[in-house]
Amino acid sequence: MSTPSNSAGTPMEEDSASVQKQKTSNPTETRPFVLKKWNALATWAWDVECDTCAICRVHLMEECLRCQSEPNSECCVVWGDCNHSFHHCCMTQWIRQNNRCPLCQKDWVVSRTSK
Amino acid sequence: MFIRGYVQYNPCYRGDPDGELRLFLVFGWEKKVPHSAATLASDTQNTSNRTTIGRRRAPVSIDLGVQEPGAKKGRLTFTEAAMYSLKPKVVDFDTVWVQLRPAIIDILNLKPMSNVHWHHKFSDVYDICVSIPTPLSERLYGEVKACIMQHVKEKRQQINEVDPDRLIQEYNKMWEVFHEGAIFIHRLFGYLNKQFVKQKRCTDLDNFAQYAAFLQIPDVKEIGCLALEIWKEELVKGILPQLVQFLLVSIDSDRKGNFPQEANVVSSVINSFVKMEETDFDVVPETGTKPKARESITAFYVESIEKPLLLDTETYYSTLAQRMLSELSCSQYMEQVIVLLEQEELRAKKYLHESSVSKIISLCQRVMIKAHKDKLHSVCHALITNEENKDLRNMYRLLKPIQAGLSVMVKEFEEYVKKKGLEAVSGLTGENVPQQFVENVLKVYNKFNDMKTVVFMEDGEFSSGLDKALQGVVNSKEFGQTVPKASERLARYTDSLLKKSTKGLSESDLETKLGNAIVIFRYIEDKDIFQKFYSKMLANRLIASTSVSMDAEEVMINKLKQACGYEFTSKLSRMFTDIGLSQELSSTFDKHIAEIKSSRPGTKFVPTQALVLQAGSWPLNAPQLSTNTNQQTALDVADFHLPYVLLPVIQEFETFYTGKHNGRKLTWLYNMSQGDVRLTYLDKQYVAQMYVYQMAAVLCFERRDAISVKDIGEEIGVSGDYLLKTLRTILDVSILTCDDQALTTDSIVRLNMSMTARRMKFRLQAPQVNKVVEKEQESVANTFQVTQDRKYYMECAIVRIMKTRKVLKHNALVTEIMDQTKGRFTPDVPFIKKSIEDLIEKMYIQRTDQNDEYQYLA
Repeated sequence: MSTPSNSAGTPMEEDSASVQKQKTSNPTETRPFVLKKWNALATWAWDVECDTCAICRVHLMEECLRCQSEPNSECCVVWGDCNHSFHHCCMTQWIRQNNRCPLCQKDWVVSRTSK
Repeated sequence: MFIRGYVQYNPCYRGDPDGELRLFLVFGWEKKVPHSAATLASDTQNTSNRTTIGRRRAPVSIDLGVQEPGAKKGRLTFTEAAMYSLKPKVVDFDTVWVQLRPAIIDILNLKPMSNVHWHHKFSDVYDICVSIPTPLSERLYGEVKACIMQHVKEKRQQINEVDPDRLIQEYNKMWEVFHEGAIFIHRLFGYLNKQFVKQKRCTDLDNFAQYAAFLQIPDVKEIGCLALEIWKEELVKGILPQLVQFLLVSIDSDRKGNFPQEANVVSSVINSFVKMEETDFDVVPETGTKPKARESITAFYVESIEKPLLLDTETYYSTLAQRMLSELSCSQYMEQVIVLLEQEELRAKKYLHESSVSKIISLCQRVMIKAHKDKLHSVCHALITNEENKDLRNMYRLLKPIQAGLSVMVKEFEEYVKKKGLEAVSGLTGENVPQQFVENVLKVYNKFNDMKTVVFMEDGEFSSGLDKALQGVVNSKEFGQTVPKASERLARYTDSLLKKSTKGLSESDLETKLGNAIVIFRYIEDKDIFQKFYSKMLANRLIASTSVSMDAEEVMINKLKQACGYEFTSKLSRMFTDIGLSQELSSTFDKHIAEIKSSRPGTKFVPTQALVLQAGSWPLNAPQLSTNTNQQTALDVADFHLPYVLLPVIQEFETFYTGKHNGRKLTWLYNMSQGDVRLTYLDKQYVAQMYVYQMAAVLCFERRDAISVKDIGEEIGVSGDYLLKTLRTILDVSILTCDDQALTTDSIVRLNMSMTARRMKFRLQAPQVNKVVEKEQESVANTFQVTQDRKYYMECAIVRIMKTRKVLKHNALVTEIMDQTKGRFTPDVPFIKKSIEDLIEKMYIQRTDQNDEYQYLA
């Protein structure tokens, strides 16, 4: 059981964006509900425009097709200045033939990788 | 001291004064002495000049200087040896022969003889062989041959006169004496053998041997062989029919239980047929080591005694088998045959040459088992269905040595196991179907695995029969099912083991049961479907932390990894990693919050425990995303407004998280996030555990007591079916009440001010989105997901294969793909073709100009 101090709820201030209908209320009013604690669950994914690698068509959360064939190889994601993203391995292969982003045809400049 | 002998002179030693000479003393010693110690006799130089390739001999006289320690062990002292001069001299053959001949006869009769006498004779032989002006070896050989011939003819005469009933005993006596004698004669004529016979003999390698055989020139043999051959030709062949007849009768009566009086005589006579072809006398066989039975030695034996015996045996046992089959039941027959075979093997070992044992046994097997195989097979079905283990074991022992003898048994076994297995898993009902399924399959497995071990001696054919049968059982479909249920049932079974609720299972019991699950897992064909179910259930256990223990979870993962490989469990392992990372993350976040609180007093955050999971590794879907398989729900909650009490902490967490991990974005799974809400307006301060959507709905009642469903929906941004379901779960625990029987968007919902509950803390059910339909959808989703995964797995396999092979024919590629994927699922050909086409399109591979051939593109 949690102690009274941390079970004290948040002042029920209203978020005007979400609850527009509500009138401003008295913050000292007894609140019928107190949120003691919560267990939040979230998933993370790469912050990308398109979550599939346009080169190998595998989801960016997975290793690319070639890396899948060789277990344990480390496969990461690369972002270009154009904000398009691909598997690093796929892009390395790609720019040998063509130094442009396969999606927008701009010159490929690496902005960051997931490593 | 000087000693004389001849030296085997190896030309390559010339010019090497420290080299060794091999010294053969006449009486058979062999001694290596330093080159420098040997003074070669006068003609040595000439001999060596006359060199042909190879070793040569030259008389030699050697000063051994000191007495050798080995000399004492020798058959002669040096002094005695020195008595016999080795120098060639003129020999009057007739004079010497007159004395030599009686000695031969004496030795052949094993008469006593003095040491000196022996050595004199030995010396005589030597003298004749090296006599001048010409060696008389050839004449000696001829005379010896004639002498032995004479002797054997006399013996023949004697044996013809004995009582026919005593023939075999007399023959054996004579044979034993003669055989010994022949060996000694052989030694007496050692020099002749070495010098004359070796020169004249046709060796097997010699082309002349073939020509000589063609010309029918009688081969020159060493004296021992010569004696034995004369014995065979002159004596044995004369009485062979009687001997063989007698031997066959003896063995036959042994079979009938009348053991011959003198078994050793029978055996000795039979073996004499081999011994009389012996050619190698120099190597005395040590006891224990088996002399090699060469074809040439046993030829006479095979022809004269083995063949008739085998014929006899065949007639005897086939008649016996016929009789037994008509008199005995099949199980008695099998017992009897086993006994007979054992006896016959002992008998063969007792009487016959060892080369015959396997022939006799395989003959017996052919006559008594193979000939009546069909008869045995015909009762096989009944024996297996009645589980007559004793008879089955006998049958196994009998049929095992017969080529392809077991196939019928294996097939019956397989069918029976399958039948029993299907009986055990059909028509399961009730709550714990998964458990019944697993335990019933396991019972069948254990039973027949024991049977395989005990009755069928762990035989490989039966093992694979058992595997095939159980595979059929495990992957069977009941009427109306489109996919086998095994994967799901097994996953649920492991879930029930690994969930905390399991009562009183000790660690070792748990591990045994998990091991049992693996036994069944190995038989599952669609292991990928099992993986789907398993990961879903594992996810639930991890998120709700309802696992028995992390150790137990890990045990299971490791077992799966062992059975199916690293890749199979890699996602499951990543789930574990995520849990660990999240725990660390939560505690750092707690510190972070504490810092904010101390720097900005008054800011309040709901205490938060956050799990951040890697998308794609977990079988989870955020309800608000359009990728959610339940499209309707995704729409219903798309505009959800988070309860404002959570906003500060969520914003803080997101900032905190993205600060730590650049390039990631978080998606919250509100449908799986739970909070503890205290109901402060009641007499008792109940705590309700609820999901975020429920929390949002409940919080609408902070200031009002009654709201319409529609208004709640607008307030929290949830609509449609999902809104109704959510409210229904709150009504179910009576935090809210509603007068309408059927909840609609127009219904008015009230806060229940007089709510009571049995427990101070209770939890709300998750909204069930159309329970039945959802289950259906889940399996559809599963199959959709499975198809995706299979396609992906398939493409990986193809890329992997092509990367190593570079160029491959279509059929070869298909075979390899089948091989690689069989651990997961069994693909059909159109699916393989489609995958290959897709990879060509994606430029991983291309067709070559050859027909049906692909090439890997780097």
